Amino acid sequence: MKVARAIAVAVLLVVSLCALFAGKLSSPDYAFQYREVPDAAPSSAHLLGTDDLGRDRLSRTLYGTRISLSLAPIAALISISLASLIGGLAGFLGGWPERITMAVTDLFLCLPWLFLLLIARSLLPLNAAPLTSVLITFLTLGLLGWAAAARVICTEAREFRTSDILLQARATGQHGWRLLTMQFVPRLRPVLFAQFLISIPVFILSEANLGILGMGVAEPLPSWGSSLRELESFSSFSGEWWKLVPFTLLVLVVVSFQVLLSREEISL
Amino acid sequence: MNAEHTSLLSLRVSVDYANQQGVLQDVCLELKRGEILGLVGQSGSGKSTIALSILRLLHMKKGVARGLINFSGRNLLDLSEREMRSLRGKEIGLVLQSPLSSLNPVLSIGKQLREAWRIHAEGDSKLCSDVIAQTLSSVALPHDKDFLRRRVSQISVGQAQRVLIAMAVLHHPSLLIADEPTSALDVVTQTEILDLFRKLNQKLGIAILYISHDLLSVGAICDRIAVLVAGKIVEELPVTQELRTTSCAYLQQLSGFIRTP
Amino acid sequence: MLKRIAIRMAAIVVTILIGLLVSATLVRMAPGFDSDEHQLDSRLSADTIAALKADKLANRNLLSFYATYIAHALHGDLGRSSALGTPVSELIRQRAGQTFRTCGSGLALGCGIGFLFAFATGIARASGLDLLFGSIATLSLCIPIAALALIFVLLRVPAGLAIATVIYPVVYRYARNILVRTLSMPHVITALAKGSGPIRILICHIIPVCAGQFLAIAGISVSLALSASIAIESLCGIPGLGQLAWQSALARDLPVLVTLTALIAVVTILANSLSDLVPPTVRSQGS
Repeated sequence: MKVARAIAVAVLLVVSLCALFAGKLSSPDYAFQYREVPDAAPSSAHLLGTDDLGRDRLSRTLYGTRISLSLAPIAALISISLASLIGGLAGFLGGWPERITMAVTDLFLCLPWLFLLLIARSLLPLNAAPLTSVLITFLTLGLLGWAAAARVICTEAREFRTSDILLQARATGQHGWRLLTMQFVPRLRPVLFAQFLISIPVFILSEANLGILGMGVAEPLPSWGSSLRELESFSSFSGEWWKLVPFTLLVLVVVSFQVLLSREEISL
Repeated sequence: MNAEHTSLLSLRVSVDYANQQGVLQDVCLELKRGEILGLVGQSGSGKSTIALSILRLLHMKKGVARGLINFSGRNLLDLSEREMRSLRGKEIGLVLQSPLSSLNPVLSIGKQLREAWRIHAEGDSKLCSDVIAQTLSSVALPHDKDFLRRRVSQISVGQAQRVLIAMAVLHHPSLLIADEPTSALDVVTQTEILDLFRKLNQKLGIAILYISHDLLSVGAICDRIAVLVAGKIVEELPVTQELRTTSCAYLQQLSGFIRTP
Repeated sequence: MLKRIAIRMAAIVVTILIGLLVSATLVRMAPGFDSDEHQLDSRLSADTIAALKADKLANRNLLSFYATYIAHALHGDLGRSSALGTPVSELIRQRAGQTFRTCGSGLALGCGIGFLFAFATGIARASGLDLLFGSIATLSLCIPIAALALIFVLLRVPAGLAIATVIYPVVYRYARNILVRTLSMPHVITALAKGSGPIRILICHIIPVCAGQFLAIAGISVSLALSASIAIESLCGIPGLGQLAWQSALARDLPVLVTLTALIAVVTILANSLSDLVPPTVRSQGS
């Protein structure tokens, strides 16, 4: 199991380094259309060939990785902040605020996630500028993805509220803000980190789903979701392996996250 | 041949768990028919492991036992799972430490008792109810329909422990393994349960392997005591009347054994 | 028992009303709602455009929109699609059967395989089997549903099978964890010590105790199946509710979206309430 975790970390490191140095590893102009060689096979000029508009596929894949892999954690950060605010407050207050919050959270978790995303995304402009579409997509993910984490955090906060540690701390004269920063935050940190890690692959997958359904990042900006749209025109599994590279990369990264998370998963 | 003095159980086992080696290292125990043997040790010393390895249920905790477990002339480790199953509950009974969670929460008590009877016995339902009523009254529990219809959540901890004991002795096994049977009970109920064990031992001649970390209760009912430290038996001694009366010195002596590695 | 169901029903109705209000509010407040693309759409007749205009005027005030919507809905009139011009109830009636069939077969197959695998690994306690099924499940969870749908289109796999592929890893994982946890519970050890065989243990001591949790898994998989059906129906061109949701999201078709939200909320909340029907068992207090 240790070996698997080491491999997962290595994969994530290599992929993020590739994304970081996307400009060095491929042509920095991911949107340039080489009109004379559309839909080309790999060659020394285009290592992964070109897409149907003649854009360099390697460059698009690497820049897409950069966008997906940097914005998914940011969206996760947003949703975790939201979750700790909502869940923490509910768990701390207890009583009816907690009950109402949990009811809303349950409702949220009941609804099909992709449907929720679709509705929320459809409320925001679909034909926005490429950069805005990136922000909108990941902001939607971040703002909608809080429910599961809020539930865990609420449970943790409730346990803390009723725990002996709190009684002990109160008995030694700690109170208010100090109690929160000295006792609660350190206790919550591992939970928050685990929830943060869980959210990242979920958001990567969701962005890919939205992208394939045409509601994600707008052209000509690349992302994993929009790269995967190519699978639609992919007609045979025999020859054109290079078209599967973005897909393989995405699955590899998500599997790596899952392997990293497997310890938490078992204790679930 | 005098049944009193023949050996019922003699074992010599080593146990490894998937994530921990050497949980038991060449542990030797000997139990005569009708005897009460106390097995004491700190938590984590491998007491419960012995109980599970005798019943061959160690795989439930991902453990493997090696060695010899001789029970009335047969090596349990050589038996097939089928033969073992016919032994469990009929020849060897088990009582676990947390009575409320050791009973099935969704089945009624009567159903669970009937299940325990039917596994090893043929016969009509009349006989079955008779045996159950008899056993329940021998452990000082009511046996009316209303009680049998209840679930675990509707009875007290002490009652649940008595139900478990009744279930374990339903077929009059020759060995009863009690794994910390009193640790979840309050002091008054503890004494009652201890009395019950002594009574079952004397009346039915059931040998008891009494596993506990509570030296006082062990001293109160056991004929002999074995002390387990870190997977090894470090001391075996008979409980004499003298030891019982000077319990303070006795306790000191025993805890001395437990402390020394 | 009856009282609990009644309370649950009341809660569901209230939740749906609130959900409707929220979704109507959101859709109404969404930027660009007032812009009108339909007037340029030459496919629509003059009458339809006039009707749409009247609708839009009525929709301007949120509260009155909400009130009229509920009043109409109670009479079975769910409004008219703003993109297609057909009554919403007719659209849904046409497409519900298709989705019901694909989701139903997918659910049955996915839950069946998931539980079967979970029981196999739980009872056999073979770590090799566990690793194999676990890896397959993890891998399936790591592929975006939509990508899976595209691959299945290529392979010409029926939609029900595609939905089952999405559901079974989740069912397998949850069911396996519950089984492993239950198997090490003291009452199972007690039952084994009585001499019960594996089948009896499973039927008498595991399934009844876990029934609530298993039903909860089934509830989760219903919303999962609906999620999957959106991707699969849209990408495979199957005329079901999932495709309708996708198309109306792209076209920002307010009446359809609101109705679909209500419908899906009812279905998923009902599915997730299934586990409440099982009387709660008292959790073990002992350690």
